[in-house]
Amino acid sequence: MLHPEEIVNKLKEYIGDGLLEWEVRTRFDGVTNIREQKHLYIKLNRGAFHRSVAFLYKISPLHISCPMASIESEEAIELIYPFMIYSGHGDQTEQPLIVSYDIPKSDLRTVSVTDIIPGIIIMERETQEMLGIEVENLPDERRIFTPDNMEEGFLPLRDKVSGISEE
Amino acid sequence: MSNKETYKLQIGPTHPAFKEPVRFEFEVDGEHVLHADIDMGYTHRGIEHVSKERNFIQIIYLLERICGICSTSHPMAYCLAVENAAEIEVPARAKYIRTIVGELERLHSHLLWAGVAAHEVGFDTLFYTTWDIREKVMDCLEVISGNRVNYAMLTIGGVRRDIIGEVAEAVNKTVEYYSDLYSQLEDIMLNDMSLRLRTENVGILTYDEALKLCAVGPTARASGLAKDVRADYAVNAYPDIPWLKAITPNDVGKKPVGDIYDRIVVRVLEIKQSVDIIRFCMENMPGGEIVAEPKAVKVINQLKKVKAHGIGRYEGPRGEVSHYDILDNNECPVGVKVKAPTYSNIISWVPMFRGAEIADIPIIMSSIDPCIACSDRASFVEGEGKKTVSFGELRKLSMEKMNKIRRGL
Amino acid sequence: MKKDSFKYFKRSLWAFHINSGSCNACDIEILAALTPRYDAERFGIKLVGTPRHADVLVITGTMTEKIKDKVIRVFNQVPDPKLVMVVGSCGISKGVFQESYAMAGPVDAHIPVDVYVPGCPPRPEAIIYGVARAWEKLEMLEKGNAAS
Repeated sequence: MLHPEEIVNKLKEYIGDGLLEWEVRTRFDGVTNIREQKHLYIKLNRGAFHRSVAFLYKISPLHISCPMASIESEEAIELIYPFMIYSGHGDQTEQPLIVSYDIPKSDLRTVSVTDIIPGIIIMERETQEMLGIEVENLPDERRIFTPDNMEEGFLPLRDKVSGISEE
Repeated sequence: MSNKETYKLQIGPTHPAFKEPVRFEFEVDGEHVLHADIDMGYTHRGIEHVSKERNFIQIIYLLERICGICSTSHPMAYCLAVENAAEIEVPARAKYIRTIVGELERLHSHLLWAGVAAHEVGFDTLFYTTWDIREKVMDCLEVISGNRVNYAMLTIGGVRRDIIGEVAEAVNKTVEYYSDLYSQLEDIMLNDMSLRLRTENVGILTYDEALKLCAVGPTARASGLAKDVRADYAVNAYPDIPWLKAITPNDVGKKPVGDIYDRIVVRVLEIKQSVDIIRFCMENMPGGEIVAEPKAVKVINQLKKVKAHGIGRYEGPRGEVSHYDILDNNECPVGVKVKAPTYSNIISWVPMFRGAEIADIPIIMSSIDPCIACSDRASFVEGEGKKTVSFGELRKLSMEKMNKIRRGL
Repeated sequence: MKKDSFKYFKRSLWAFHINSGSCNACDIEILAALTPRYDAERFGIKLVGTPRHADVLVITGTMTEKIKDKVIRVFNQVPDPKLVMVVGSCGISKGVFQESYAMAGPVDAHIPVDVYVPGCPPRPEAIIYGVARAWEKLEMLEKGNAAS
């Protein structure tokens, strides 16, 4: 089991400049037995994302904990993947590893990681549907949630939502 | 058979229950399922979008209505996420009360599941028995919170109601009731021959598949993947409990296969575990406040000053509930991302259905606990013509198989 | 329910339950109403597996866009005389999901509703009471048929 700092160092060795920022945050919980939980936040370059996930998966299989969250700014959308590493061993080994990267609004594309983590497929389909980010190499491109009669370009989770009538 | 023509079998879409109700499309060759396809979104209510227009406190009650069965799990994960972002310290007593309510919910959910699963294999006596037993924990939750299903117990920074006096007595009585009853329940669920024959080696999800498909909760644990947020990711009073660990079929000395029987084993053992956790919490509950800041307006003002991300994870009855909230100096979060356990498990259905018989579809469907299995009808599409088979008939098929097995005993 | 008040509607009352986007809370309370504690079957009230056998259509949940057509189709499959009963606040008024884009509106905007059972979720007693009221209305409908 690697310490968050060690994971970062290994990743840095592998992708170099692709790693933009990183941070470790600790959270404590419990009453009589205080347990600490380290959270590793990594910010990547968009181009380095697929390679990094493949590399991290080799350290230990990643579990995707939550669909991708997003933060929208003027020029870009930041996509946040809450992964868990060392999951499924029991023994309190699980560590949150939150990977994020920016996607410029002029070029809303990213690449699918279903070839590495097959379980992520529904979340990537949701990202494509809700945020309008095109996910390349996605094996299944159908919409999941929004009604069939919704107009083209309806993206519910973007800041300025189109297609909703003001009542 | 030289003619390799396959049929398409549709089930759904009025499949109630969780956040993502489902329409199945099975490709069947005779009695066997070759491939399953899943279509979702029929009860998509746009909660993540609506939550952008509510303030922090209002969202708790909105999220409570994501799912009526795990109606504590979603607010719990949300509150943990917001507390994580804003670094709010929850009083010790509130942590214990949260744990107790969460475990009572797990008790009621697992009993509910046991009943539904029994119903799907045509064992209606067990269905009525477990639902009768379940009413006791519903009474207990009603005493604690005043409502049978949506408890509204949580708030940011603590809980809204204390467990003292008569209420504490009611909880203790419930714990006694279930510990007395447990051995009987275990005997019926794990040793009934006909139930075993219907569930053993059916709907298998192997360890590797569970790992790759990111399965969670009892579904993952039945495949031998020791994934339990209560043990892995410390929240509430769980770190205090020294013997708490993820339950797998290994605990009854059985090698995990990942079939439906293993999922029953895990859930039955978890009923015992939940009872023990509630007893532990009642015995060791510290005194003091139950909420960090009782005034909602003050909490919102405090959260307005925060610009951070928060992650909240909680083990709901059906698996990991995970929320990712983004706070940005506003009185409502700019992003609330929700994951229900079934969302992770849905993709695990595909390997489970592969090679299954049509009569086993209902039990496999309910084996990951997507709450109540109620798809309304199925239709066999055969070439140009259409033949419709109601869900009642599907259940009849299931019951016939059960009777055949019983006769063979 | 007075025993002698049912002269015209002579059979047991069968209900078909459809979920139109509910969170499941109402659904488990409907099931709870059928199980031993509340035992609605002692009144002859039974849930059936197909709308074609039903007298009452029980709808839970808000009407979502994606399921609207299916609910209307099921409604048309129920033979006359039929009644529609909405269980839960969100089917009556959209409840907490007011601003959502995925809502097609309250159930009564699309199909006629006879009995409303409010609550989030309503208690099993309330659901049984709602079915009893539906029964009274069916009785009146049958009486009208008998007179004409």
